[in-house]
Amino acid sequence: MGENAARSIRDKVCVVGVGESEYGRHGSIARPEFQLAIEAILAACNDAGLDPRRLNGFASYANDRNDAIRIATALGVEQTAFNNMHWGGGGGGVAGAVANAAAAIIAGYADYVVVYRALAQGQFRRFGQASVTGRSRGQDMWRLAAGLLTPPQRFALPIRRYMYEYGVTSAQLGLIAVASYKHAQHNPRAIMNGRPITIEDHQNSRMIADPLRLYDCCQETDGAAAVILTTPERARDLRRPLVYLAGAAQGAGYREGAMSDNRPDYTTAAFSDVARRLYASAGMGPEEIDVAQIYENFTGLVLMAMEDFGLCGRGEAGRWVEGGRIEHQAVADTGAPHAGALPINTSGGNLAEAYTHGFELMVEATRQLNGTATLPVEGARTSLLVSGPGVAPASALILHN
Amino acid sequence: MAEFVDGQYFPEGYAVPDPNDALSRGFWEAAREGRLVVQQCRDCATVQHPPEVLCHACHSFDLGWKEVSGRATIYSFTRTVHPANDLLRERGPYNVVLLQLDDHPEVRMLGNVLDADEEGALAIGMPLRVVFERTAVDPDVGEIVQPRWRLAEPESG
Repeated sequence: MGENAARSIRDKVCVVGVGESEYGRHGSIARPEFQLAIEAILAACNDAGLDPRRLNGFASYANDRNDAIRIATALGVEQTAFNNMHWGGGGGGVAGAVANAAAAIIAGYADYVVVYRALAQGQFRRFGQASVTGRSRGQDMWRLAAGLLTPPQRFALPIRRYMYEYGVTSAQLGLIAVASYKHAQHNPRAIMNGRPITIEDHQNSRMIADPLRLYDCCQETDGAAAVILTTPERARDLRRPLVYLAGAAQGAGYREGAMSDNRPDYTTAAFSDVARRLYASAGMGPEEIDVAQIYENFTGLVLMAMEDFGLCGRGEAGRWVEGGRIEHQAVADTGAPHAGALPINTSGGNLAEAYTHGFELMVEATRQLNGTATLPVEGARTSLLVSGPGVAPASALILHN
Repeated sequence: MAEFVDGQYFPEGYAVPDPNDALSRGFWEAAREGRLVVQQCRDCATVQHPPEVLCHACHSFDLGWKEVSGRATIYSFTRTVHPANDLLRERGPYNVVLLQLDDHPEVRMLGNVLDADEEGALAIGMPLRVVFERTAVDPDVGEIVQPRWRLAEPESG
């Protein structure tokens, strides 16, 4: 224990500022992705009360196109002391990139690290479209030969199996979407603000890849988001109340990256190992989580991730999300028996705020603890962020105030 | 006796596997002969799919191919309705199954079931048998044959 405590990141780093660019449907924002990245970073510095020239560390994930040195040059920062890219896993890198930045601060490499993700699917490729011609080779060949081209097609398979094993229904998947959309109605930044949906809308939405309907899938959008990290000592000189990183974990368990859907624990969201290490790192358990942001690539994987993180029992998530449990008190139906028990995706998340590859969830995880959330969970002391259900490597972190 | 089929599951112009792919060449060569094979370690007999550079269990690089019966069970499936591109939009909805080989249930393969694209045609647990689709004859790499699947009668005994 002693050695683990000495090596823990707990309370050694604070999130001091968050920000984002304008969010819009893919193709709706004319400004280039690089500019959106800069806008998000400047907004986060402004939120923190930090001169952007003092940033000296940069971290991102998912092969973000807007590389650190180009941003550092554009901003005229005095020094670039840490540049880091978290490997692979798409949206599985959100918490991982933040954790890498925290490690750099603890190691003394850098004092103020910005973690960011910019993703303009209008300027670049839409994730839901894929042109496939010629000859396929290597690891991609097996998926392509069977016609698995897009994320909803690919993740329909584990979600279907999960639903089959535990008797989960499409309407239970839909409750994840309804919660996100309800929360987005309070968030003026959310693309789906002003466009609420009901469970009937979810059930009537068109099929994308059975069992996934339109509202089970994350949006394709343009936008960027960023957070700033520093030491608690430096954080005290900045604007916002202190939000500490309590713990973080990244990676995968045994053979979770096995291709052609050969990972052993097929009906999990591949977080079993990460969840165990996260709670050990933070020195707390699932019962201590007050609010959670759980990456919604697809609704079904949110249920599977809830089980991996012990928020409910294995196979129970479908029933657990009923009765308003995951909805903020303010938006739950009148008389919902479990209203507000554990609100998730309180800004609207990937489904209804914007799809910055999940980084808007990190921004919201922070806002829930520093008094700037659009739909604050009263008295929240801890905030869980889960990044990239169903992918490897994935990551997660816990913040506290 | 292996069944060969001439119709293509995906339209002309859709990507086809390169049968000379370094890791999987033996798989595609066997398919030309109407045999379904999986990679097997010659040292510890572990079976793995898709083929890898080394045995993930014992780290041997001495890997061969094991022929399997071609009978399998649907482990999961999807029916893709929203097309990923214009070529597939014209084709219409198709199915993708994840199957477990009856001989080696620890191994899952992706595949497609012929004549089962309509809604409700597939269910988890349905038995399958392999057939071999003569997809193309390529002037550079020769004949390209891919395993596809048909719904099968449950095997008795």
